Amino acid sequence: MTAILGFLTFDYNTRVVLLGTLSLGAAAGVIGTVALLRRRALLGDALAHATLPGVWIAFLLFGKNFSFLMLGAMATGLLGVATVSALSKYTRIKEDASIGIVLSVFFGAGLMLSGWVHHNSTNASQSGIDSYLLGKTAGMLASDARFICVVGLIVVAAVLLLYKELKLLCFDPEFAAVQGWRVGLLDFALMILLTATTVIGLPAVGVVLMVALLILPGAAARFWSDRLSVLLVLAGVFGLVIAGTGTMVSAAAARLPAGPVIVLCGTVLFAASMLFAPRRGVLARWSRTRSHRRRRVRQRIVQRLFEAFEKDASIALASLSELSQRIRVDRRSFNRAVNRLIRDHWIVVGSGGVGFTDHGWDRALRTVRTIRLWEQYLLTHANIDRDLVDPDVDVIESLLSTAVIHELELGLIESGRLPRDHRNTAIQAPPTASREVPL
Amino acid sequence: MEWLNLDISTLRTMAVAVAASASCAIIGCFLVIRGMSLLGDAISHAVLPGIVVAFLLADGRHPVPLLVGAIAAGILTTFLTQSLHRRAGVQTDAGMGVVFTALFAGGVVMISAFDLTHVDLDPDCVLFGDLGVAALRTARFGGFEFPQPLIPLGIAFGLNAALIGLLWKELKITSFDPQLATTLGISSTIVHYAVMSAVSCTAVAAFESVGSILVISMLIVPGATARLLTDRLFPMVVIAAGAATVAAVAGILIAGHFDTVEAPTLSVASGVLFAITVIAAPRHGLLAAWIRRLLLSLRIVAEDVLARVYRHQERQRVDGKLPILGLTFRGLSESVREGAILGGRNTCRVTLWILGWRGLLTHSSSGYLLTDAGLSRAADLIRSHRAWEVYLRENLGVALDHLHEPAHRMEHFLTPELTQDILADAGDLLDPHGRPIPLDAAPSGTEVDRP
Repeated sequence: MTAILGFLTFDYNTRVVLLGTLSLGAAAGVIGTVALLRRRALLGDALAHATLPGVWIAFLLFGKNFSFLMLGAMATGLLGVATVSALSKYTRIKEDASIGIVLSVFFGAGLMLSGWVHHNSTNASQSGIDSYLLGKTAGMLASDARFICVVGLIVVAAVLLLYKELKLLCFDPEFAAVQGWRVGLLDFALMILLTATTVIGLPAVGVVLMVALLILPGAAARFWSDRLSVLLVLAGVFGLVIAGTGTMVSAAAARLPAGPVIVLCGTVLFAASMLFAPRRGVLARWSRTRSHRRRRVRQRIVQRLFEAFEKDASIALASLSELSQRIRVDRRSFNRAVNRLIRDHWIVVGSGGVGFTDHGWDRALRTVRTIRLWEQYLLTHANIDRDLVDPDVDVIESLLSTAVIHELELGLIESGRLPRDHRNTAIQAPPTASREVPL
Repeated sequence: MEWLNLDISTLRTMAVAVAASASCAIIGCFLVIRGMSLLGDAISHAVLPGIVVAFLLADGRHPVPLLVGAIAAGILTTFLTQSLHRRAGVQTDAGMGVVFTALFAGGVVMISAFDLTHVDLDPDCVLFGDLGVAALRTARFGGFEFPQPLIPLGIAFGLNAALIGLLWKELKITSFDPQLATTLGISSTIVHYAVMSAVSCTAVAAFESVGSILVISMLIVPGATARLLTDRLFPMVVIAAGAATVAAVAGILIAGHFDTVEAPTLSVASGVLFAITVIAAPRHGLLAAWIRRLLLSLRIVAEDVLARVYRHQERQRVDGKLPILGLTFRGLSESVREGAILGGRNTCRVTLWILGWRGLLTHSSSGYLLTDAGLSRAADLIRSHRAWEVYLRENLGVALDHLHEPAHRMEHFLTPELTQDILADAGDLLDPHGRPIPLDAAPSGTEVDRP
């Protein structure tokens, strides 16, 4: 609690910087998400670099006036974006190369102007403009922070106002065009908002890391939701969180610059989202794949065991080692699957082998029937060989109509492959084979 | 040539610049054709932490750890970007943005945290470099004094040239047809990583001279310039190296003249070279495309005018009027307004002048009349038009009132052979509207049979 209070009682400078970075983080998160979904994520990179010559041209023309510098930056930034789209539209240069060309050449032009000013001017007032490159968060003035805050609010408000249009633009631009929306105009509006955010962010985090602030919150939020409204809110919140944490960490540590620390905080958040997000996260995906794979192994064991009884109706127990040879999985997976089947009371272990319980017989019949129906279906309706299919149980009844299933069953009966209940014909299972006594 | 005073230091700077540009350009070609330019961008940023770690571990500017660090960082970037895309389902561009900014930020934080700025490794230096300063340090070999950066750049150039030479076939196949490469047993992945390692090496060799952002311009711009000038891979690599050299020399000269920093000027010079190519490239340039379109539209307008005058004369012949009167400009501009003739009235005026100059049209007191040569050209066109109408009517059953529009468009593009085939199949002498199809011998006014 004292720690939180300690954070809240920052000195004036840190509070100013916090206001600036928080507004920037939220605005960049929101507009960056839209750009990301429109597949324009790295255009922000070209944009950020292309602002540099504008800053210097404005400096040469109007001197060190904050708003003119910003306007100059915006002008060449937009020019850069326009060049990227013109190059990829009218020449055979692809978009990625266009971005690279604009980024480096515009940036080179900016540096050239900067070098020229440094060499040929005795005026010392250019100091401070250099910080647009790497950013100098600590040097933020209250007026700068207020400016960032106002522009950030305008950007967020514009996204909210254009919510429906932007949604259409991101997910179905062709449909938007058919509906009569001017897609080019909307893209232009998106670019203006993106440029405005980038330009105000430059003094804070610098050219190189601005693109991270645009991409990271949206990319992290993408793991948590598929809905645009949720995405935008989440990305805004993520932007706030990383900007706030980064600023406070860099204020607490003596030598750490805020810009890169903010980006690293964002990276941590991104990595955490990537790992732990419930549905799209890597861990969730991994556990889904694993449980699916294990289920397939159990299913194959049940199938092979059933086939063993089908082949020789006189036996009540099948040899486990023979079974494991017929299922090509590693020893550990096999044992795990068998143990799980025993725990679920599908099979029991007797002397010299395993057998189904009553419950297991029911389930095995259903499983094998579904597999064979599916194979039969693919064989007769889709002309696919039985060995090539990978049947997934439990879905066939919901996929196929009863008439088709009936027809398939007739086919199975004809070839003698319809699974029958061998409990009646087999020798009575030993008394241990009941579900109450699993081994 | 007053400003072209080449002293020894300018020559040295120029040598370093040419070496850096050329090594980047030849490997950059493959980034451009593989559509991976931005991975070059990403790697040139992401080598920073590799360099810093190499600095911390090896403690000094020794080239081998630097190179190892850079290659590791480059491979890490490539690998992470691919894994984010394949395993976690992140869009490629977003994944790349996340990876390289994170690595770069890590590098900057490490530099600040370990206070490395005193060993001449500050973010500014890595970002921007300084060609002039880099070229001042000299090394000696066999009594010959040359700039020290030429050593790593020479190695990078040699490595790139060797890679391209050895893997030429593999690079070509994996760049243009990855599926074919896979079926031939060539691993696209290995080639991909080889290219990315080469890019990392080159980036780190060039970074002290030009800085990591301007390396991108050296990697991509010459390749893109060459891409506009040729369709073949080997000439592309050669042209890219040439463009890089020209840009490097020009950049150094301009920078010396205007007294500004060399490396950015170089990148602007290559940008200007690229811009000139975009406009003036012989086949893929904007100017060439514009001229092609202009000539095509002029041809179409001229043909429309000829056809219009032909129909005017034909109508009078059918009506049996003698002498046949010319078509006035008012009549033509009416057709322009209706859209029967492409373009506007002024285009029409220019076209009339051209047609008169080429001797296809004469201007009599009553208006414009076709000369014999003009009559023959117009008859060709009308034949194509009516043949296409016949084709659409007989083979596709298009309604009578829908025949004119498509025929009006197709008449400019049908070859005489195709027209001949269509007419031979149909065996008709009249078009679906009942108008005669002009035969090879151009009918003059008096030969038309009158009912």
